[in-house]
Amino acid sequence: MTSTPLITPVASLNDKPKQAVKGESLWADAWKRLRRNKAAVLGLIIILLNIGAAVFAPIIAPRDYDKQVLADHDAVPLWLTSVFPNMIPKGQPNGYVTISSDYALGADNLGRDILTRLLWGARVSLLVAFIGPLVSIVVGVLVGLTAGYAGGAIDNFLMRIVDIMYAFPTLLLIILFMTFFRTSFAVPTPGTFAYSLGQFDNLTGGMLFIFVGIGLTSWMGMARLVRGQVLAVREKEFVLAAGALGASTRKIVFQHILPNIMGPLIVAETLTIPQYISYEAFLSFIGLGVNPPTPSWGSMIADGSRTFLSSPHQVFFPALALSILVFAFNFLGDGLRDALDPRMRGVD
Amino acid sequence: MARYVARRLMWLFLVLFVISIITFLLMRSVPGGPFTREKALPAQTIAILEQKYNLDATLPEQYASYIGDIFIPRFYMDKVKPSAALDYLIVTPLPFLGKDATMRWVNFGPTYKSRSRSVNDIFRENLPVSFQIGIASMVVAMVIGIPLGIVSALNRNTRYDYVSMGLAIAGVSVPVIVVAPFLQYFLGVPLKLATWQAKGGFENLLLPSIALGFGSAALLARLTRASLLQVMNEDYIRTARAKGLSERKVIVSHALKNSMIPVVTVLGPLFAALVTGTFVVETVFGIPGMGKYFVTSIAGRDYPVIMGTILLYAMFLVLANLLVDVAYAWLDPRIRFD
Repeated sequence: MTSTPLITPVASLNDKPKQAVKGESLWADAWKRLRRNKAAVLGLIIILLNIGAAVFAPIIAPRDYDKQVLADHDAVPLWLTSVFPNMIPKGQPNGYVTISSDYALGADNLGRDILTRLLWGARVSLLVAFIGPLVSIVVGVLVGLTAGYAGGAIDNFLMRIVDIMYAFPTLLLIILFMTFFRTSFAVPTPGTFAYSLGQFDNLTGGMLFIFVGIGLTSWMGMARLVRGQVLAVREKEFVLAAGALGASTRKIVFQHILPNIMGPLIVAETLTIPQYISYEAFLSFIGLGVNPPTPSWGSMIADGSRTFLSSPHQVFFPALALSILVFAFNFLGDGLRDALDPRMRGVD
Repeated sequence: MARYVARRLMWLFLVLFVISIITFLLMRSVPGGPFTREKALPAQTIAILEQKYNLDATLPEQYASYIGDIFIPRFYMDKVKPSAALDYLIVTPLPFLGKDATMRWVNFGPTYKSRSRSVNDIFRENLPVSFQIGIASMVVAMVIGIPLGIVSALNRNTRYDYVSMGLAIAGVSVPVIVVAPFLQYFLGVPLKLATWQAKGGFENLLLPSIALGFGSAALLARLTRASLLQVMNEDYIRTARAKGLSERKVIVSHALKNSMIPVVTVLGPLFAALVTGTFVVETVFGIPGMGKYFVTSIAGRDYPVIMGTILLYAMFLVLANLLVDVAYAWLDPRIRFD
């Protein structure tokens, strides 16, 4: 009668009685899954490193991002000449490249340190990566919730607006918006609202209008997604129960419906972040992005690609930085999707 | 089905109408005009120019006459002297009304930047270039993306799967403005394909369409894989196998067609993105397409070019989506339009 197997389960149950009954919230559960996903964790680490670089750029950057040393234009450290064999150092036959060990990743065509500009440029890309989705979530959720919950004529009207906005060629609209904002708010008279907006945009190096422009053109997908989710959740028992218990519309929408549809929203938005980053890079590329000399990876690629034959390092490093960041967001987005998708529960 | 298409076409007109109004208001509220120069033109010159281009009329009048020139067919009984102001895209001879009688339609107006060229001229010369790149990159995306997705779904969790999906995530992650300079550096320069040749053919399209289509190929590969994996778990696939069909037949005639449904839904938006996305590769590769004209027309307040480009692209997007919806019904008999 002393067989241990009979006793151990009881003993273990008595040891930690609380863990057996404690439920896990969706988010704690998702976080646990996310941590197990190596690619997602790597993505998260890269993003955190980038955030660190962006926040501490003034401290860790070796130089000023707009400091020009014209004598050192296009200079590279020696090791880069072995990476790009066609960059022949001065002194050798056909040599044209200035060698300088002062610049960890070389200097650009105006003699500015590329590493410094990369660190500062992280600010632009990351801000776009976070504020772009924020704008699109705020607008998209408002429109989608209203349409999905109100239904009827309001739903019809809002969704037709979404359809029309969908037919707008996005890139063309962004370019038009950017020009509109840039010139409309460049008002010289202080005191007006337009003037302060323009000043604020200047203060951010021209970033404000990029956020607005990108956000205004990319909320439609979010609105459709939210509406669909609301329609699916609206008829669920817990929402009906809340209504039957006399909860106000506001309470039902924001406390019962919204938290239950957050998962897909976050996943969808994380997966579109790369698109926002690319838009910013493209806008900077065609000269509608941040104002020089504020560095952005897009404008660095644009400047660098003009001389990519003779000094490929000027386009290589910003391109690498941009790709790595986008990779990280994609990894994180994929990981989040796997972590938050309830159908994946209990699979592993 | 016919009724559905007809309704969608009606909807197209409404969409174009709203878009034209938004664009018109937006571009006209941008400060500055087409004749604003750093060294200001004499007021009289500007007045004459504005009168010539009907810019002295009220905004609703200008809008109405612009839209009228596009949508309302005009009839001419005599020969029309070719000019930038009377350049119509569609000219139909009407022999029963007279020797030189014609019906002329779709006039996108003159461009303010040139006295002898119209917006239609710009479309005729540059739109085909942009569309070629858009279509070529769509072909690249489909030819690379869909087979890649199928291969990796059918060989799930093998080397092939990992390699394809690694490639796909790289394609999704690397923006066009990054791919393009690198393609030029590593392929364009060694193969002497770096710049657009006026008389070139296929080789002109090669690098731009790869640069533009690569990301979409990756997207399609991921979607195809996910969709095919899901379909392979369906009951009807088990049934097909149970009744003894060969694996090849199960995949080709049962799984593939059904797995293409979600893929087809993204083809429309994808194509739209590619056709407008050509602006990016045009800038990088120096291609004489619509992109350059659009960007400079906004900077120069060349209103007819802005309006015309946006309207044309919007119409194209709506039509592409319509086409996709029709294809959708053909693939999935459960879907009925009424």
